[in-house]
Amino acid sequence: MAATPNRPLLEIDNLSTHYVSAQGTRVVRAVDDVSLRISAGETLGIVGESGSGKSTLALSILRVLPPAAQIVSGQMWFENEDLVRKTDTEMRHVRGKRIAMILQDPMASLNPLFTIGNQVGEPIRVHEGTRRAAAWRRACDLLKAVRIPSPETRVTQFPHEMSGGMRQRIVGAIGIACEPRLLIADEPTTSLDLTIQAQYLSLLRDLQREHGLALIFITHNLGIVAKMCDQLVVMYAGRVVESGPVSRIFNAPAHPYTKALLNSIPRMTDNRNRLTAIEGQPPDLSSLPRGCSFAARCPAAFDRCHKETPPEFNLEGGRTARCWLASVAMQSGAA
Amino acid sequence: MTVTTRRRDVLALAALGMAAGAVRPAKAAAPSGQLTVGVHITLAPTWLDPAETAGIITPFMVLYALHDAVAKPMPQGNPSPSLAESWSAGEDGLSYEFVLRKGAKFHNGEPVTADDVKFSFERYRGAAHGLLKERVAAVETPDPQRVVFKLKNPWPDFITFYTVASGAGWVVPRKYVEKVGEDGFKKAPIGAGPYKFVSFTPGIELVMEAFDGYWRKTPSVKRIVMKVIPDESTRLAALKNGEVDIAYSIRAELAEELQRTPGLTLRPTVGSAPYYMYFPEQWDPKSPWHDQRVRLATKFALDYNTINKALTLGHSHITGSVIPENFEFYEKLAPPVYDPDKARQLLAEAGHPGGFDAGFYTCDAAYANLGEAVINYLGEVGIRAKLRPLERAAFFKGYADKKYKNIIQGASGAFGNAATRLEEFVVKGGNYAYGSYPEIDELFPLQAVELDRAKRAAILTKMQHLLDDRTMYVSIWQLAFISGVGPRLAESGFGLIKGFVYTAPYEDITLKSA
Amino acid sequence: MKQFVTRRLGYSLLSLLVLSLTIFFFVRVTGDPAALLVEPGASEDDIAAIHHKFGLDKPLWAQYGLFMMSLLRGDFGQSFYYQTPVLDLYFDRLPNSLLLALVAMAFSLAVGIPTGILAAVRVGRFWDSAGKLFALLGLSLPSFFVGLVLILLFSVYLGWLPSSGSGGVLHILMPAFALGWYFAAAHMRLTRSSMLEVLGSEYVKLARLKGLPQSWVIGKHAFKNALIPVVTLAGINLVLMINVAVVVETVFAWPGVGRLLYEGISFRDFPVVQGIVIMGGTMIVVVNLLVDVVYAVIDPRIRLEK
Repeated sequence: MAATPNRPLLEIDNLSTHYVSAQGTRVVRAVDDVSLRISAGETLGIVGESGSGKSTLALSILRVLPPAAQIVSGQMWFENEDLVRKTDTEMRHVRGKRIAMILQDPMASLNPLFTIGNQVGEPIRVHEGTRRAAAWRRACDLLKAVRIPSPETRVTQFPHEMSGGMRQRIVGAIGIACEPRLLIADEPTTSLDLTIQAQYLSLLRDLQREHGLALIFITHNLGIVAKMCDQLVVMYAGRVVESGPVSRIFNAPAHPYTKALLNSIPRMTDNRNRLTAIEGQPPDLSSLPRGCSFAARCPAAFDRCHKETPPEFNLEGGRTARCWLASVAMQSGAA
Repeated sequence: MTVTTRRRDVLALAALGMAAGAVRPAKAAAPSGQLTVGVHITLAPTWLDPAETAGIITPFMVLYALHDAVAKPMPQGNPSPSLAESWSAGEDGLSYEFVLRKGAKFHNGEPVTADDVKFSFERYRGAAHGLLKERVAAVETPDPQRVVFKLKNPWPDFITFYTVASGAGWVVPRKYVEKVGEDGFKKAPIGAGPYKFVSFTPGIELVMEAFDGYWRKTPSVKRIVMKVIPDESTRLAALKNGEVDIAYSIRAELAEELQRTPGLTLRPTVGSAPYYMYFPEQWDPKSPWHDQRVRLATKFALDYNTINKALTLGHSHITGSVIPENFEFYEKLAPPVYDPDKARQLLAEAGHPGGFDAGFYTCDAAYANLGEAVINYLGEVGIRAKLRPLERAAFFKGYADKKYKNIIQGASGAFGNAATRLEEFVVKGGNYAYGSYPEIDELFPLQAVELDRAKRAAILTKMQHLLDDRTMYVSIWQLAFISGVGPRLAESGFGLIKGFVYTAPYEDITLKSA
Repeated sequence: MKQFVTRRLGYSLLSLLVLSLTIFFFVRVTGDPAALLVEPGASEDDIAAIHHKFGLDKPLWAQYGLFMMSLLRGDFGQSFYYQTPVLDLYFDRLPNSLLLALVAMAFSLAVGIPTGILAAVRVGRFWDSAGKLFALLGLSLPSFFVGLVLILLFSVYLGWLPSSGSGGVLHILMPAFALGWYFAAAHMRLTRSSMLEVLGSEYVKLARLKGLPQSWVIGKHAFKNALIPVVTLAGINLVLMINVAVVVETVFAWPGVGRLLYEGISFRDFPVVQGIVIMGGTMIVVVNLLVDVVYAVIDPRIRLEK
């Protein structure tokens, strides 16, 4: 059942994914109490530093987690079904077909021993039962759709015979092969040259419009977020610390972490001589401190921050913030 | 040497020859069945050709089947007339005449003639051929049934060397060899033996079929297959399984296992190599071994029967002589006894009441098990020695180079007779003699020229007694070679020829009727 | 590609030369073959005759010179014991060894690869532990022990299989198993670790993300990649098997090259030992080259490189 304009396509409620060591002694809370929602045709950006849990979150959605990781609580509603409850066999029918994913390193994510045509055609053969020859032709069409020149030749070639940008387009082709409703892109431009990045982003946007895709864009690059995304989720230490429409957040970030992130982007108009970095290190996810996980590095932290973990507060205009300041702001009625 | 003695010898030999010749091949039933032998040693192509016979016993395993000789060791005698029905020595000892048997044939139907005998002698290039070539002046063939060997000088051991101690007396067909050439002969040998050649995969398998034209008798078993199975356990398994009917060389624990298995029989045969202890330092006045009592003490120190039981299930022959029992001119000496008290007493008398440090006991590593047992017993009477096993070739090299001290454990299976053995091991100048006694030495050249057999035997007997009196050597045993025989065999052929450890004569082997 | 192969060939020939020199001298250090061809106590004459016959009375460098010259003509000399050309003996026996090695290799791959894959896919669980046990036994049990136990069980006790020799299909089963187990273990371990590595790769992850069934993920994407190191090892192992089968061939009286080597060593048959070692070296060289070619076929990245 497709989502209606009011109902989100994907709604994640309080999802937690933990890595448990073999003996069960160490628990890494990679994703902790994460909630988000995305509607059809929307672009949601997920931003955070390395280790913030973004990739784990993405893998959790498709339930392709390494054996040590497990979803311990929460729900993921996609087209009226809870993905958390599905069996692996059921999930296989979702993966690549209803929800697809693009990985970061295209050289690594393509199998060096098989042709492009073979790899692009696979999801079509598996999900739609197409014969090999027909799938091959579909692959050609897909390469055209991602704007690869001379697709008939390319389709017989091997991954190592292509440039990085082309490989990433191919990965994109694989993603849209079965017309999914949702496409998750995990840092798709991070390993591309700057000049190629812009091309690729515009391709994604076009594909999104043509196929009516919802797009979850995971990145650490706020500049891309500004260009591509409607909604934004900021993650820190496995938790969502702020969420809401991109422009509002950029204008007035509610969470000190978001503020610091925005500040640390070097701007041409700056007169400052030094770059602003956020002091300190993210916490160890296997032993999170009491209270707010950002408190140790937060310039605005006060007593309560160190003692109690703040919940997600709902702010105006569809925004949330996991910060005691937000509660204060709410109480004082500030926007 | 008197003429009467001469003639007596000739008559005796002739009588023997006639008796042997009188054995007509009985009208036997056609050969049937197959015998499979599990052989422990790789079958070499050189064994198919008597001309190549090296100085070891193993080629004879094949020679007795495929070929025949002018005379060879047989159950009746060593040697016994075979292709020749008799022979006689000339009065001056410079010639020997052989009369060939009528009706002896090669596998291709050709008769065995004097010409073939001469040809085989001349082409012989195996062990002792240098010696034979040196001493034989000429070989004549006055008629197809007679061969005469003319010697340069009288040589009483000619018969021994020609018929027993080498392969020179084994006969191959001249016409055939000249036709197919040496290589051709190796690939398809023809001989005069009870079995003819069928096929050979070098090192793997030899197949032979009965020759019903054999002069002595038609073999009872139609086909003999010799398979090489180098690993002992596998060989025994094949015997148990019925894959082979005879398995050569099964030792120690496996021999016990063999004994316990119903349907299988243990067949020990005694080899012709006596094992002994030798004392290289006995001529050195400063050495404890110089005193005969010390050497004698070692003789009484060993519990021969227990060692025999433990290592060879009691089948070896304890012997008092370093000369093999089946050799011509062997003199039986009293076998040693176990008397440890006497040993200790002798040591005390010699001035070693608490025993002494006897240094190294050097031996061939293959027989280190015997060495271990021996030094244990020696240790108990106070003679403390350390075992030093050496790899075979290294051992013999060091032995001949006179490198060893204290005690050497040795054995020799070289062919010959008592005289040849004494020459190498006892008499001055011998390869393995570290010293000698003049009273023994002076006798040796006397027997070398003595043509009267009885007189010669007397001299050699005396030498052997002197050897024993001096305790130059302490003999231990003639080692048993243990083989296993399966249930199908009636007559296995083991032990029929004294001193020969493999099954022979092949024509006497019979299977139980199915 | 051509240049690469030519260069490799050149190095290989050089190493074969060094090998022949080494084995020539090593084998002569072991002692005098004449001593083993006559009964101890034989006359000096007989021993000297043997030395002369085999050319052992010439100075060492002369012997080596003669040896190398004949070698270049493809003549490995005459076996002392068999009195036949070494190459004849070798090629007589080689097919048997090759057959045994091929069957053993087939067994080791048929058992080793699936168990390795299974162990990797079920890592940490029952099949992984079972696989590890199988590997441990295969690598530590000596082949003669395995051989003897097999003979005892299947030949003597159960009477199902013949104990030794070559002949029919039944004859090759036990020796191939005894020879192959060690290699099955090696292949299993390599497959397992290679598979584990591949299973953690990004392209396998993407394959899963595409929604491909497990059989495709493992059987198609992981398998071929995981196999590359195993193929290399298998190629080298095949030649190794032929050379290492000495013990198995002796225990089972299998008429192969390994047994010939054993006999050659026991009898100090210099030409045979030299010949087998050099032929063995040559085979290793050839197989290495072949494996490289197979590599190029499987992995397209290699094809274009050289």
